[in-house]
Amino acid sequence: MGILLETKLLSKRFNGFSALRGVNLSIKAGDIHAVIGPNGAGKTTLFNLLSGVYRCTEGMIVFLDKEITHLKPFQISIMGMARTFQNICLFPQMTVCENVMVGRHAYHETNLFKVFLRPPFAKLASETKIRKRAEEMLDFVGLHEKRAQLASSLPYGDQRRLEIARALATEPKLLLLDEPAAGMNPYETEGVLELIRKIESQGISILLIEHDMKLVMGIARRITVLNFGEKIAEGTAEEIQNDPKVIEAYLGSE
Amino acid sequence: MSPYTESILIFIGINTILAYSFYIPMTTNQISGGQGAFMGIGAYFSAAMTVNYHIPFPVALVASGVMAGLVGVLVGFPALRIRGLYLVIMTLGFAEVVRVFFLTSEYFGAAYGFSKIQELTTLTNVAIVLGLIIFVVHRLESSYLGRALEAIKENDLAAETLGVNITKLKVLMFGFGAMVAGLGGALYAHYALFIDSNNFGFHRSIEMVIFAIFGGVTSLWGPPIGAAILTLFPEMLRFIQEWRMVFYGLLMILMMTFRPQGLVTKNMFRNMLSRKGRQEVGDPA
Repeated sequence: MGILLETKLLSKRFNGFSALRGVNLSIKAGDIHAVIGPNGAGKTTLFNLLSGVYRCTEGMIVFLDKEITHLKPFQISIMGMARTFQNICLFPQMTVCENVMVGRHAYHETNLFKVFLRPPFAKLASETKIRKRAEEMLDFVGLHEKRAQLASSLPYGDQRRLEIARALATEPKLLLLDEPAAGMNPYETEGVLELIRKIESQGISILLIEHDMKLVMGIARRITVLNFGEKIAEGTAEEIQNDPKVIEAYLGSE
Repeated sequence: MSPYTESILIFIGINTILAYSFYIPMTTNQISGGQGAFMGIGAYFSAAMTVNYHIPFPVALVASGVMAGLVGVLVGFPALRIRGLYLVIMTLGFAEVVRVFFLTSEYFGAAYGFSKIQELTTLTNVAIVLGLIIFVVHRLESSYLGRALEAIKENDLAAETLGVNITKLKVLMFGFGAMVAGLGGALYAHYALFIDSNNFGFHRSIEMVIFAIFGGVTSLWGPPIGAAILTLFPEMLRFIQEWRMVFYGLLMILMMTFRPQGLVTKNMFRNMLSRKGRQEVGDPA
């Protein structure tokens, strides 16, 4: 299988503080790849660099054989990379369905004549299509019956699901999930696990940050371990669990 | 219609246009404290065109609106990086620069102001301009672009990672707001017949903010309602003379205490619709 995403010597410094140092990463198409590491290891910084929210200080990012290092977040999104956020970033005063519809922004026919000169009360043809597609996404994550509620009225677990549905609406090839099971009970975590498998079966590759080791070990085919901004190990769950450097990073040295 | 009623209606119309000029950038969470400057640009340039070059008013009106809009786009780019209160301060600073420019520019009459402007603003052309603005804003808001604007307002980072070009939309809306202020300024100039730089200073900018906030900045119908009430209120209190501004102030205090979100809100219409037993729950109308 081909390489979907690759980073070469990716570094990020904030006013002298080195958040990420020379990270090489490659994600194969169709994989579920996890990034783990103690707090402050640079996991979320990595996500922000990949999705274009931050500009890297050094290094490059290649996605689908094209360099995306200096592209803006919306361009990267249109290329087929979507993400969720560690601290949920929904549009709270919009309905559940509208939240997902924003994810299909790039799929609208951009014809200003049609926007401004359509007859009163007539909807754009693409609008109906997009609503339908958004409802399919909501069905996929199990939020269909809550589609008319305001996003802010959803319970925490559903808000995470909604964020995933919204990201899926962009039809990504790669989905970045930043701690999708954070703050969830074991039952809800199981649900997230199921959802991730379902997304994978759609042929979408997943890059995942997660603290819940049970979840990571149970689902990730490849794991990258970051510590203090550097990659210290990479491999399968089994390899990682027995790596002395990883054990040291998590438990401290003897 | 008595000339008095007509003049009140014209002022309500112009003030509504000015309220929209604050409302429009606000749809992407850009709070401008300097819309008076764009109004000034529209007023001075349209006046110069009709008085010095005898250009027909409709042409001068459109041209000065476009002019203000272009300046708005120029200001819109640095404004992208600045948020909230900081943007208010930045636009205030810009407005002061523009005000002093008109105060010192000999061509525009400097401290004497610009006079001998013909009375070309009528209720009809105010209504046409206002109608067009409402039409365009309504079309925009009821389309996918409106949803993108709302998303930017709620969380611009999330919107951008979902494929929304927030730079383009923010600059566009800032420019559009400036253009609307310019149109309002041109209509004002040809009704007031005399303008000087003090007409477009801090006080004017804040007045525009108040009209919009009072009516509500989450609904298209907020600005006209805010502008209408706040234009009529001091008129109705004319009999108490100087004291009327005290009541105007009290109204502000009461409003911000009991209904800070403005008189009209987006979800108010939404709730009214759903209470009518609208079954199609997936449709947020």
